[in-house]
Amino acid sequence: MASSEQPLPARQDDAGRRKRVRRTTLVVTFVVLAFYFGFIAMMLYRATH
Amino acid sequence: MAETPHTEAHAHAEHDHDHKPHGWRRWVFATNHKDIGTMYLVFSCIMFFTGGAFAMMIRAELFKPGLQIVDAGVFNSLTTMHGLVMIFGAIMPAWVGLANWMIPIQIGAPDMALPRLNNLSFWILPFAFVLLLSSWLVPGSAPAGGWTMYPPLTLQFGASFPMLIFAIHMMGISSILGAINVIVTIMNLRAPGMTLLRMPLFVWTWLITSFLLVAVMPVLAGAVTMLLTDHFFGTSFFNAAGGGDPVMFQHIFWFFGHPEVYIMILPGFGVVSEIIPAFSRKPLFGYEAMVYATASIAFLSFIVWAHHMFTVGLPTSALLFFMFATMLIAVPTGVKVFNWTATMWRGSLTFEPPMLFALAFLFLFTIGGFSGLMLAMVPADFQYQDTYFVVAHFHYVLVSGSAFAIIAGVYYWLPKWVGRMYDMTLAKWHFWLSAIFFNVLFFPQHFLGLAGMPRRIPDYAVQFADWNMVSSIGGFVFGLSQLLFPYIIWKCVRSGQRVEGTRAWDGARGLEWELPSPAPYHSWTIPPTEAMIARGAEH
Amino acid sequence: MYRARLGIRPGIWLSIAALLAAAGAALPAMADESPRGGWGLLNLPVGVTSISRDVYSIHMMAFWVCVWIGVLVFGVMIWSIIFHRRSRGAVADVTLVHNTKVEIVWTTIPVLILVGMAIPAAHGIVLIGDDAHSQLDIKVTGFQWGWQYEYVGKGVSFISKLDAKSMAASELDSGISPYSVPHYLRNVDHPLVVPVGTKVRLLVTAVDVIHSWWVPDFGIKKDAIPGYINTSWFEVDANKPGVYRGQCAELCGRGHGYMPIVVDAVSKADFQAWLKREAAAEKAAASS
Repeated sequence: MASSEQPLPARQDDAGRRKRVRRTTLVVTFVVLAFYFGFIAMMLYRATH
Repeated sequence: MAETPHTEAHAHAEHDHDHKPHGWRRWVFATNHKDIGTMYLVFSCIMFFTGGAFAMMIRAELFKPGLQIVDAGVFNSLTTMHGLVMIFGAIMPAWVGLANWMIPIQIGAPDMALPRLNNLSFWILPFAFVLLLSSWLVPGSAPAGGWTMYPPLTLQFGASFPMLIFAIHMMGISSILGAINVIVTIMNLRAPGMTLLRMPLFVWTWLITSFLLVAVMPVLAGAVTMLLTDHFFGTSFFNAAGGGDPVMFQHIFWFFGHPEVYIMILPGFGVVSEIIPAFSRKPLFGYEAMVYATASIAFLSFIVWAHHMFTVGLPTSALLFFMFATMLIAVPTGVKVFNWTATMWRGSLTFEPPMLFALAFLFLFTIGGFSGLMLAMVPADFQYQDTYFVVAHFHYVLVSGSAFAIIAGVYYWLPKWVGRMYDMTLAKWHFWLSAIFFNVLFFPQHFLGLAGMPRRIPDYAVQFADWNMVSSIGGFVFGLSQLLFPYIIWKCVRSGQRVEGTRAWDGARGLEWELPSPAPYHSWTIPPTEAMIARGAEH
Repeated sequence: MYRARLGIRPGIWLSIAALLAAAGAALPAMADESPRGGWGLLNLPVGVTSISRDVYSIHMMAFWVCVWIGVLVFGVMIWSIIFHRRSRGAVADVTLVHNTKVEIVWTTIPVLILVGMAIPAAHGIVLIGDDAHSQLDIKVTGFQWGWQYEYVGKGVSFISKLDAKSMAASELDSGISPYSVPHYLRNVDHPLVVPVGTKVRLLVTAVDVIHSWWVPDFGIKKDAIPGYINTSWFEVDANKPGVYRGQCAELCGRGHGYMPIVVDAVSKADFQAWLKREAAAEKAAASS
């Protein structure tokens, strides 16, 4: 894709920032999945007990 | 003005033009935050008129008593689809579009943190809505159980039911991905010197909105999944005959639904908090109080859901708790309104279209807040619940709240986006027609509700005829006058007068007004200077 | 910079037009002979039960609180809009960005107002929730689309549905004017009959989907939910016999707009006589 062929100056030399972006993304994604599956597990528990 | 970074940024803009992809690839493979923002806004505009067409049909049927245009089943489909399309198709994508355009610019970042995810979260939406809207064509027609999808009613619908569920799932995933992107961008890509308490309020409100989205969209997804399994796989989550509980769905739905209404209004608070200072030529009054008020509204939104269901037979203790918690929301909301008022106080006001729409927001959203406070009073709510009083209330906060804030934001930032100014005279006509006929449309609905007209009915007793006719006339003019909006934008993009310099409005503050107009394809390839950030964060 | 070229002229024209339209709308209202019809329908009914009067007073209190706050807040806004505009030469006071004292005041005062509003509302909740010592129990069952009423322990039970005239006129393009039908969509074949001056408890449920039983003049609305029995109560004032009308308030499918509720409140003696007749008639119908 065209825009990723040439990394933007503000990002290309900032490996630390890339790492932080990845970490934040994973944390937030984990929260979403925890909410989704945690919620369904809670409902299943309520429906079966 | 710090000239050096400005010219450098400009030089970059020229340079980047060469690398802009052309043709359909630019849009289908888009990773640029501005291109994706534009697509979101165009999509939202199309959905706004689609949902608006449904609303016009609803008002046409309600123009006089008796059924003249559609039968009762189609009417229910119209109200259901109007709600779904306006909420998930028009308002929410419009906010994501504005977030895409403005957040990187306002925090001094080159782009969103996750550009490919950004592409995905947009491109899910057209498919979701093709699926949802094509349910008009299947046997039994479109979903007709209300946008709230209460079982057991919603489980009675045939072919359209799974389409609705999967469309909701797709919209939910799109919103969640968008919210993740916003959180990651704001947390990591702020320019050096752009501390949290220097961020513009639009960024703040969107950050808080994203957390709400991340917390409640999975709950909605879970709720509709349970509806799906109840319908197709013999589970009894909500089926009383199988030991399930129909009221449980309402608790779950409104645990999502109440934060959802703040998801639609908080970014509007942000936009208005940018526009009122700009046209009062005065910094925002009580910046930190605004941030804390937004956060407390977001927190309270999680503990008030049952005020949507006071009549389901809750125990007295629950009624008391949810009434008190709901009334409490009036405090931070009041703080916001007082702060906006104090921002105008002893300012130097002018009334360009963005300011006009922001002022309409201020007045009319406050009226919606008043009826909201009345609805919080449980005994009175027993009379208001499920009547046109509620319809009037939520249109005051959603149309003159969210939609007017979106329009205000577009009129405010459009010169920055395209480097051209729109036709102010036409935009003022758009404003006055909208503001006046909005009230002709929705104010009489307060009367109808108090007089005893329930919502979601295709036909009504003759004593409700007069105000329904007034409301319908208001609706037709309001709906038609919205056609001015895309025309004004189109005319501006094609042939608007060029905007010189960085600032389209003399009172505007913030990093977006430090970039040239139109904003370069890649926003802050060189981070903004400390002086620019300080100028933008005068509060 | 871009300055307003047109001023607010289109707005003024349109405002005048809207005012004229409103005046035009108000004129027939004055000519309207019926006290609670058409244009005159603007507010909640005071109703005929202690609950409905309590609800009405809470509603009016909340309304006036909102009106006065509105006058104050909108007054300040309008003052700014008129007197602090640049075209009048107003210069912005950019130091006015923060004032802890004022901010504390406008946080505390709303809290006090809210407490003042919450107290009568809490009383109202307790009043409406007190369904003990009822003198007559009626089980109300919603279905698609009508209501079944069962007088608990009295041997009387019947179904109440939209009347035939409304039904015929309500068809798509029926050609029958709704105005020619008495109580269009608010009339039933078989009304609920209750005695005045008697505490009537309702046991509300449903068989298929969720409905909601609502009579504005009684000040109560209760959802009818499959698998649940919700209770509610009312006592029609002894001096207010009459026919009171309402309708289903929860979306329940295509017939949602067509399930009215009609309550005929009669004297205690008339009620006893009606009950006897009704029980006999139902017995005869069952044995035949």
